[in-house]
Amino acid sequence: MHSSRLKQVRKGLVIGLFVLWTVVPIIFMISSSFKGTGDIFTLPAIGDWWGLMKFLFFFSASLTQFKEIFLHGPFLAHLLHSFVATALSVIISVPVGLAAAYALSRARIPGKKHLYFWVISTRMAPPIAVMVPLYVMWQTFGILHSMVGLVLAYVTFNLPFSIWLMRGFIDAIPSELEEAAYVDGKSRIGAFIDVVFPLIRPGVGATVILCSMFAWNDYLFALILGGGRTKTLPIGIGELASATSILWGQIMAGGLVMIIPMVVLGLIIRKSLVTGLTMGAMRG
Amino acid sequence: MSLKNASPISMTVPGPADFSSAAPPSSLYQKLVDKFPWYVWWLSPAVIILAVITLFPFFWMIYISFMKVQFAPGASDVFVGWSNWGKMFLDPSVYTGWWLLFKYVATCMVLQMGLGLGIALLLNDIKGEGLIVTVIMIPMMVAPVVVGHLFNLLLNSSYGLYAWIFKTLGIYSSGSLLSNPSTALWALVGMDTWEWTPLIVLILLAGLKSVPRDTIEAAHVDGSSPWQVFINVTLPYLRPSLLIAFLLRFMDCMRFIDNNLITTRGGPADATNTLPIYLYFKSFREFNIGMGAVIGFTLLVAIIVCALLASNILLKEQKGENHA
Repeated sequence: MHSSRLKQVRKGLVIGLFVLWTVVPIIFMISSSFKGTGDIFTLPAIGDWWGLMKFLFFFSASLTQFKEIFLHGPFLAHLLHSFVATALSVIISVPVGLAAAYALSRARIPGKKHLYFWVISTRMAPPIAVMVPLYVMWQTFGILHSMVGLVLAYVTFNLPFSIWLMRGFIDAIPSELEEAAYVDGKSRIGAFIDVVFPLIRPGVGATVILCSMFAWNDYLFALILGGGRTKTLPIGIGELASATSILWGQIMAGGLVMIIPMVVLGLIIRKSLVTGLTMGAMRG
Repeated sequence: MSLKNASPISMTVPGPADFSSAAPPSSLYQKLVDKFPWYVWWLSPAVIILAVITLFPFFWMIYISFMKVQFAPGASDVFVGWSNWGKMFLDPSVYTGWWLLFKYVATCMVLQMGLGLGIALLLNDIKGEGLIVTVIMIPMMVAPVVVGHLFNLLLNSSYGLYAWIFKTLGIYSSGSLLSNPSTALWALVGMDTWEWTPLIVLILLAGLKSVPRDTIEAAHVDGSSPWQVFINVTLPYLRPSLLIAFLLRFMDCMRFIDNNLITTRGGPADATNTLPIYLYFKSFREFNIGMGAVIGFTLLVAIIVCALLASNILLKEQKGENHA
């Protein structure tokens, strides 16, 4: 059994290396956020691995960076903008998407396949190509650099996504359940609210979380269509790096604040996360 | 509406009038509701919003591709015919952009699929699989802007952790990988691989769960080598998942430019000036919106064609499975 033992060790080593490669940047980011500005740059001498361990794990922790971003910069305002833009885009996309998903799942609609492909294709468009006409349109309508414009831009990708994802969840519910409710004298809306919705609630929850993630993490739309009084977190963090100085400590701390809610939400919906991110590829 | 005496099969689905049973059937509201099948009312909000924010811009894009868009107050757009199109076909940067995009996407795909498949096979059914999966999922949820800045710092030649490790191991010591024209594109590939290989691992792990264990054991008993088992048993079951992972990552690599925009911005010396980045600079730095629309249109069409091909391949695959 010697060779199988060796195999086990080799297997463990490869997996270990992959995990290391995945988590080291995150660890580096966390430890940099909790350092004083000078300490971020004090890497040990080349080749001093023990020094590196101390650099990553055993350093004198400080909350300087967090104090700086929360107390002195516009970070809180950006946080608020991000939150509002994300929340509004989800509040529009999910209910509207839910109704459309239900119709697409249950009704016999002429040309449904084409309608559905159109919905999906809007999500597959490269954001930067969409941005050119949106920029001109938003300029014309006077909603460039406004919250309305930004929220509408987020709806362009969150609405098709929520239609797609929730249609999958509704398709999995047998329509006999609603038919039984109709026999009981329920209307279509009544049957939907009382029978279908409770069953797809986890799916709706996953949709809300994934849509929030897309909007919260967006950089490009915020960069081109947002800005001004609606600067979101990604833009604010980006601005900490200017041509003259890069505030690494604040960038790392701000980044950490930004990713924590999404990591927590993502881990909550672990299973649906994969389904959600493989959007569009699962069905024709 | 009485359903008591009706047969459940023919009468169970409410007619269009059933939107609100409280409203008397003669009301104006009810007449309006009755005019269209029920799904029209459920679909129309989504369809109207999508049409306004996606279909309308699409035609607008075609329109502005024939215009010189002016932003000065009072100035109106000028019709320039095919001029923007002609310029695009004569612009060497467009060809370079396509070529760099191809190199970037191709390398990302080979690296991520290979690494993803290897790790998924190793992780399948080992002790602690759940925990490891949870840990490696984290990069996917990190905002691209944070990934960009994080790697900017990690690779920084004087105080970056990765630069330190490269120097210690004697791999690379001349500056940041991101500021060297011959390595910048590969550094971007590395960043994307860091963030998205875990997704491929997750998709393939889900696929591996569909491989029946007794079939594998039977093959082992028959004396097949692990390699033969992989080719003859595992791979056929894994095919749909591999296809999905590939198509998904392929489309996203073509579309997203956030990392590039945050770290190298097309540089150094245009080494990472892929087509979408070139499009960004043409449109929103030079404000040559007409030209941007032309390039954007070709990129959009290329991606939609890829999507159509992809969905056809997948449909065929699913049909083939049903027949088998």
